Amino acid sequence: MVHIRNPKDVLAGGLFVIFAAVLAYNALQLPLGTASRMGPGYFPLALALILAVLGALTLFNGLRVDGDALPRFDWRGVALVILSVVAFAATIQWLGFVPAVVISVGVSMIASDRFRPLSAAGLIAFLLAFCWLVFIWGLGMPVRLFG
Amino acid sequence: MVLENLALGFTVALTFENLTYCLLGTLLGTFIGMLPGLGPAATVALLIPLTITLPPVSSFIMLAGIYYGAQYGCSTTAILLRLPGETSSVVTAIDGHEMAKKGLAGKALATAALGSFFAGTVSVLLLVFFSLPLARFALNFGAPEFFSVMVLGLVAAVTLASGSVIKALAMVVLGLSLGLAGQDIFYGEFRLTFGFMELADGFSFIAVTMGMFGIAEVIRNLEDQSGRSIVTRRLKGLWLTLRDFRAIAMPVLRGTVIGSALGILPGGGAAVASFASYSIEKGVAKDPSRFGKGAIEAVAGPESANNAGAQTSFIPMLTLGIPANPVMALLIAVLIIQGITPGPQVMLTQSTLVWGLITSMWIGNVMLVILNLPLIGLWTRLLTMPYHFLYPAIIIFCAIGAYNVGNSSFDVYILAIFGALGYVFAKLDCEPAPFLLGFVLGPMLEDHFRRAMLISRGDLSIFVTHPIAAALLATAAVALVATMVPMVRKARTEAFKE
Repeated sequence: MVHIRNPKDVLAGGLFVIFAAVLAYNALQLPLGTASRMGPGYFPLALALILAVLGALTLFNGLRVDGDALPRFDWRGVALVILSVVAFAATIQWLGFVPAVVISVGVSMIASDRFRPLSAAGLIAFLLAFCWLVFIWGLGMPVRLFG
Repeated sequence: MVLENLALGFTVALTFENLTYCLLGTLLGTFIGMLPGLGPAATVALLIPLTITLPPVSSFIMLAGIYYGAQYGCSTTAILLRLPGETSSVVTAIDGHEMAKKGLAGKALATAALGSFFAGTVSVLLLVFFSLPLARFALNFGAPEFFSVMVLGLVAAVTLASGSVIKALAMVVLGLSLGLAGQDIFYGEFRLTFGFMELADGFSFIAVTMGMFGIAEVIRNLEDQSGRSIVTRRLKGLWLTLRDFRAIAMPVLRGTVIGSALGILPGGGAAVASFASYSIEKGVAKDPSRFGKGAIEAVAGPESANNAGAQTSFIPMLTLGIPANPVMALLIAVLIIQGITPGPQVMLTQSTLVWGLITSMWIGNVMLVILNLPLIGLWTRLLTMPYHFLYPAIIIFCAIGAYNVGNSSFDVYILAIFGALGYVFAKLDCEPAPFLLGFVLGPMLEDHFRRAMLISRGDLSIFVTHPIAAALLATAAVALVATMVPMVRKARTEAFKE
């Protein structure tokens, strides 16, 4: 078992290598062409190779040189904030503007433990009015309020 | 010639409509930029949806207003909360906040405002005199030169940023790659679309930026809510005395010079400029021990430097189409969305846009001073708003904004994905700014590389035989190699530590 000296770099390097693999795989599905007449896959493949090298360098540096410990990831916060965005995406066309905003803001508020029912309801109402004012009344966003 | 252009600029900028957009931009920029955890890039990204329906000139005038408003807002949060919204106000946060603790917040804010105004005026003049000749010069550029200047810009951005150079380079390359997503312009093949027709035009730029800078930042702030020190004492003594003016005159002047010089460099140096100005002021001070304990020069110098740098970063953006910082990357993306191809021809074919923008930048700086000195009291009260009331607003604004640009739920999912990605990368000390520069330049870089290879029939030596291209690439190589030299590396780490 190798002692990992800088977990941040090892993880970042690993991520870069994985991204590079996905990019290279995608580029290889396309015609590469030649250097003088580059196909759609040529440049992306070159970039993927550079990324792979940089990722590998980062990874090996992380094994060799000491660094900070891995920070704590706030998975609950991540999940709730992302869920709040996804909730908006999933409901805006299906349920309409008002329910989408209410659901999305409601979900995001769970991430903080400082809301009381009254302040939560107040903020939802305020944001609903504000977003309507800016986006629908002000910018003429073409969206149904309900359904 | 210059006068003619300025006259044209003022006739555009002084219309009632554009004055209103300028005012609205500066106000909104200051307000949003002041919200803790939102830097200028996030502020501009958040407000782009409001400007996208305007005609190009008005939308650019408003966006520029938002940008320097946000810069000013960041300085305010740095002084009052010790929360720098971006790297260029890190230095201000040290002495500015110390001044605030002594009850001199008003003075610190006034110094920042007046210093920025002076620096802004000088750098707008630079913009007036230098951009046209530079654009004319760049008109001779062919594909190899453009490719090289873009590479230099990206490398400069990496070496001037804090943190690991290799990781920043990797972020640039990742950005370049993802920027290529969508239908290939030459062959019409779909790249990186993973079978989604929604990705035929690539990833929505606004969704990607708001995800990496807005959503990711919200998650990070939620996680770390400790260590805030708000100065809510009554602000008194807003006005500077004659003695104060004498103390700040030279620092402002020096800061302006450093900031203007570094801001012009592709790769952008607003952050480096403020660090440099701080160390120079400390060097020339009679009593350097006051620094870090609320020295007024340590606010005046860096604040002028970062504002000068912010304004002169428009020069490479307008004349070459090269972004010096994430905000310029956003503006280039807006240009493209508005149907204008970035590059030197913008200076010549879009003179209404360019000169209207430049003159309105100066008008905006005037508005900033007039508005903000009396409004400081109101702004400080806003800052006491607890974060848990703010973040749901930021999230829903990002979501609606991402949706509104193309009326597509798909873009909102992209926002979510890049929000999560941005958070993970930030936790691993991989900065989003280099990624964004790469993301914007990706398609242009590939296009110029392809053209260069077409001209040379696939021979890479074209980048050596074209002297300008060779010089640019050599500079990039030297900059990159320099960061690997142990001595430079050490100096760099120390510069960013301070």
